[in-house]
Amino acid sequence: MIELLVVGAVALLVIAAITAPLESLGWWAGWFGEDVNDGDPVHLFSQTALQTDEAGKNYIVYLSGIGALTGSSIPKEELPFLDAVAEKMPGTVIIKDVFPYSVTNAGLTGERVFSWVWRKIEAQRVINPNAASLYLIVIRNLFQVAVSADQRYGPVYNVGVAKEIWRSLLRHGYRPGSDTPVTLMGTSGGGQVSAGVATYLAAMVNAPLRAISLGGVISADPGLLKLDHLYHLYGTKDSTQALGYKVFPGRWNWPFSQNSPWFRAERAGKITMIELGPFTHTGADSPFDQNSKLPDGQRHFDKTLEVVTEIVGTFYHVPPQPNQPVNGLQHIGQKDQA
Amino acid sequence: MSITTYFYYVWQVITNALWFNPKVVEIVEAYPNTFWITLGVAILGGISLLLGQSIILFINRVRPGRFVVSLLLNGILYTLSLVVWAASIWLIGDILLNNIDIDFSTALRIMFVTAAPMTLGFLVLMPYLGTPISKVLHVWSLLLTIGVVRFQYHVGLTTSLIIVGLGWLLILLMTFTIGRPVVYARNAVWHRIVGSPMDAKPEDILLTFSDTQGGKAVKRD
Repeated sequence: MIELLVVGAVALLVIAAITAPLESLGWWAGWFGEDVNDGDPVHLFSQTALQTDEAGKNYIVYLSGIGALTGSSIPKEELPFLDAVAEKMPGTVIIKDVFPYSVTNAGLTGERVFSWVWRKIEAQRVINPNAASLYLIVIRNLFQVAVSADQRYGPVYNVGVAKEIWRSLLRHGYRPGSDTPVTLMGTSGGGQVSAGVATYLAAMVNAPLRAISLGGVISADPGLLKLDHLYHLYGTKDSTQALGYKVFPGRWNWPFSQNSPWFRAERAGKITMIELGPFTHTGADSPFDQNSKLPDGQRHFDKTLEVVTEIVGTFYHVPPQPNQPVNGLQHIGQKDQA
Repeated sequence: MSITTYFYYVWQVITNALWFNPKVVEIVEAYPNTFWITLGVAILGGISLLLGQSIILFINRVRPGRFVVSLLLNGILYTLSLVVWAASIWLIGDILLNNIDIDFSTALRIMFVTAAPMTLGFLVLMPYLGTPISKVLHVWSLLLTIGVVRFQYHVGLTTSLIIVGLGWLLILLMTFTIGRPVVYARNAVWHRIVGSPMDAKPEDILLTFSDTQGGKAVKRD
């Protein structure tokens, strides 16, 4: 019986992995009806219904971790953090309606064949945030992260998500050509998507584009070279973010990968690693935890908030130089990571 | 033979060949009526191989109907490539080991068996793991080819490697000489049936969408 369950679980995983790229590939091939060739930023602007006429001073696009079901249905610990950033930085528009694990920004509970399954899981999450069924969301979205990081599928996937981010920026009053800075803030798998979309988004926004990775799992994606800067915030107890430099060969510190986009971006001074403290990836002790405290009494939540707002507010037009401390933030190399 | 029984035998050949079970080659060699079963393995291998690499069809925006036809066509083209491969090895084997008399139809059936690893080609679709899986499958198939040549000609590993290596060189030589019209005809058939020149690559997306002025657009056929 156990044997049968194991075989069934492996078969399900294989099926999930094989079918993972089909959504973005089918979208690209036009099997779902959308005209993908229309990548003209100005044309998209004229097509987009604006939600507001008021432009922000800068824009943060939040890309949630692999626990997200839609752009807005994200783990509940993340929303208070985004509200706190908005409160602390008046004039900053925080965009929370992009689902980074779909090329068409179609949430799992939207118009999909299995949306009823995801809706049931979403309802369960409200009752029990640790329900085993939530792993189905994690597995599904994890494979989309792999699609984004894959050299074969990445271009298709990332261009789709970049277009959705651009559409959302326009909906939220972003003015093309205004040079208004954009920050992609990605948690966990959202970190990889931030790097992946940068190749295309940089051309669309044509303005300062930076990424803040909150425990992001990031490959050596060519998009890193298109970002003005990547700030990678990590906790010393977060083994998930450490997967980034374990599973992606382009980030291995060995002679064969020294010319990978990761190391080229690092040499160009585009990557700053910031150690937050003894933080975990999610739940208790995570960067969003409002109960855990650092030895100096500062809450994890407040520490993350302080660092994020400092990056967004202070360093927008002054990129830090490589290997120099950034206004009290610890700037360390990859080899010093947890 | 019912269709279920047929596919049961195809399944048996694939699973046994994957584990290098010499009995499968013994049976295929002894019974000429296994031709259709081994042919099934070869066609399935070709279909699965393209399914795993179907990004090339998606990138070129091949419609669903033609997508299915492309898979079937690849099954046939892959089988034909095995026929050429079998002929090449059979010819080299005949020249090098002229005292061994093996008829071509037997060599062909045995060569079809080496397509067994390619029936797992659909696994190449997997993101990130797909590329190393593809390499593993090709090595697996090559090892199987070396194994069946050893069995077929009753020779040692070194001789088997030499036969396979020379066979490969012969194909290479033919491709760039008398094989040119054949390659041209294959490409023309492919273009006509699939309905796309199949010249778009994932890198074109980088050029098109990472350039504010707009690069070369990937056109729908």
